[in-house]
Amino acid sequence: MDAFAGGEQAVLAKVVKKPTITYLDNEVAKLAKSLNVADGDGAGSSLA
Amino acid sequence: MGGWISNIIGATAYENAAQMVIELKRHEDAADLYKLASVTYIDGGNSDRAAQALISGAKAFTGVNPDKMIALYLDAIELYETEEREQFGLDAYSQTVAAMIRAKKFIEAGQLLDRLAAVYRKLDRKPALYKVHLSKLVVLFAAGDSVGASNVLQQGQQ
Repeated sequence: MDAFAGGEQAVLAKVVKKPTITYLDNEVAKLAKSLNVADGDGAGSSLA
Repeated sequence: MGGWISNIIGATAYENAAQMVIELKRHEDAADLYKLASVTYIDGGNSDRAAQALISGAKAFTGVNPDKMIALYLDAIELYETEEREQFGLDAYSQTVAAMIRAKKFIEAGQLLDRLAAVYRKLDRKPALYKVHLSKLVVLFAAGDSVGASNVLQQGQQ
């Protein structure tokens, strides 16, 4: 949450590698890895 | 022969026919046959197999038509929920969420995760419930809904 609010991609990249995220269902974990804080839009726009 | 037995035989025949038309790449026909199988199972009072037939129909659309695939999955889930047998359809929830994510339907995935959270709350399965909350956070971030994500986080902390 803080990584998103602060627009810190490096922090987000570190968080999504934690077991709490990688343990999630495959597609959700993959989506988490693809998240992007750029413009505060998340992966919805960055993956399009 | 009992009515329920003829229902099972009929439904199985529909499923076998569906598998054959899948090989012919006639996915729409396969989905129709799986729907017929599902209705026949319901007539025979076997809602679990009816839902499984719909799931098979959904899988027939893998890589072909994500919208129809998701619609059939949702029909199956609805059946489990109507019969209050959600605990037997947990895989269907996960598979549908995955299909929605692949189709970039993040809002719909979030809504389905809410329904899954309600199931885990009912079953009192807290670790699974927390996993669903976390999944919803990811999906909401992907949808660009940081306000919604913040709300989920607050709910999870309560």
